[in-house]
Amino acid sequence: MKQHNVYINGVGSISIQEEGALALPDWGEENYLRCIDPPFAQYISPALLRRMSKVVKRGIVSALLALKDGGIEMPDAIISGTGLGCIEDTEKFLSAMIEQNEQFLQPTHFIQSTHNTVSSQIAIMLKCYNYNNTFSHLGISLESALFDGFLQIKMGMLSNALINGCDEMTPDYHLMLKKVGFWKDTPFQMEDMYQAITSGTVAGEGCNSLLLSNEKNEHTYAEIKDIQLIHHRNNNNIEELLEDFLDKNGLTLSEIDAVMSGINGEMKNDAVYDKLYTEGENNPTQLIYRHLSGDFFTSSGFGLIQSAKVLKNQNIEPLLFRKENKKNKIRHILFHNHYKNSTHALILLSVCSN
Amino acid sequence: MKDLILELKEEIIEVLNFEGMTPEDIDENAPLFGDGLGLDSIDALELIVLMEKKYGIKLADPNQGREIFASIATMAAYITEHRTK
Repeated sequence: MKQHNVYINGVGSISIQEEGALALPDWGEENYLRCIDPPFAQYISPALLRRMSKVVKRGIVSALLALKDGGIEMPDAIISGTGLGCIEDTEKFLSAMIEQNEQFLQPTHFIQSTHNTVSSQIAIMLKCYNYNNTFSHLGISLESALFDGFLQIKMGMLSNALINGCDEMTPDYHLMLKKVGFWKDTPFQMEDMYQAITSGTVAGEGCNSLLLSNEKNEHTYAEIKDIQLIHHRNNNNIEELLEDFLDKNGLTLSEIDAVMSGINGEMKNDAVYDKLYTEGENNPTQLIYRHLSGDFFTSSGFGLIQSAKVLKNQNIEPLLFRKENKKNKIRHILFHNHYKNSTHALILLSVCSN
Repeated sequence: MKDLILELKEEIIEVLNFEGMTPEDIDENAPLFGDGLGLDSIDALELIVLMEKKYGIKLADPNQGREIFASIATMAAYITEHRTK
């Protein structure tokens, strides 16, 4: 069976970053930042807008931006990943159940509280009746959605696919995680995000979309050569699995120009990457993004977009560097994200010359 | 009745999330569904919940809804007659 190439042809993002060049966020007292929202009314009709929570609005706008960027109006598939779904509406619905003794529950919060709301609302807006799916697998939710789209394009089942990663942070959820020490104590030094000496990370939120296609054209950012999701068990050796993944693609780690990893300032989390990418010889350049996006279940979408831009523009924004080891042309970026060292996502991105 | 009409407009703006709209923007005699405010079936459910929660009115016959929810003025008239809260 003929296998098709898979390209990233469009990207869209709603994040804690302003439009334009990346900037170091001011994490403030709570180390908790919310998205900089676009004027939603420019994208969504008021009748639809009034029922939507923030994450739904953001997901729709980032999806529309990716479609526009890739020059496509109707995707063959809409596939989303989310760790928390529409948590704000879920909280409202559950709170009302408790406060009102399970009576007088508002239907809108219930309807909008499901995890697949973003994917379905994008489809409703576009009048898109094609394949529509949502993955919710904690820290590799977005990668699972990406893998689905990637495989279907690879096998010729789809020509293109819109992939979305959407998550929002709420004050209550942030507080719960704060109580169990999930976030860094404040104030913290920004250097701690590059070379972690403390536990905890910083909270963010965002919606990031990628338009995949089997066609390389003037919109193309990069080619996705391969994706591997690893459900890591104790008897697995991640170093061997990484080597096998690269070997399968005719590469060795020394031939990888840069690794974009999920370094987030949390000691245990970052040690997993350090062991793989700093202890050997000829280490690739290390790029990071979570100090710019904040940490959330689908923050890897922000990192994937930055990786795609690096390959397209052949330019690395200074704030993405953790350690620069090579200065030659960037041909291959290995995107590596793990969740509690129990699940790993390896994504090999390569440059496309048009 | 005037106070109740104002209260209903404020409730509808809040419950149905009409951001940026004020009570003055709503004509109490205009249709709630179709033209006028342009509400739909999900909004109808929200209004049924509002009637029960705020005014203690439980609508047993769905066919009643068409008349009661014709406009804010008809809602106010029905509430005045049947409210238990």
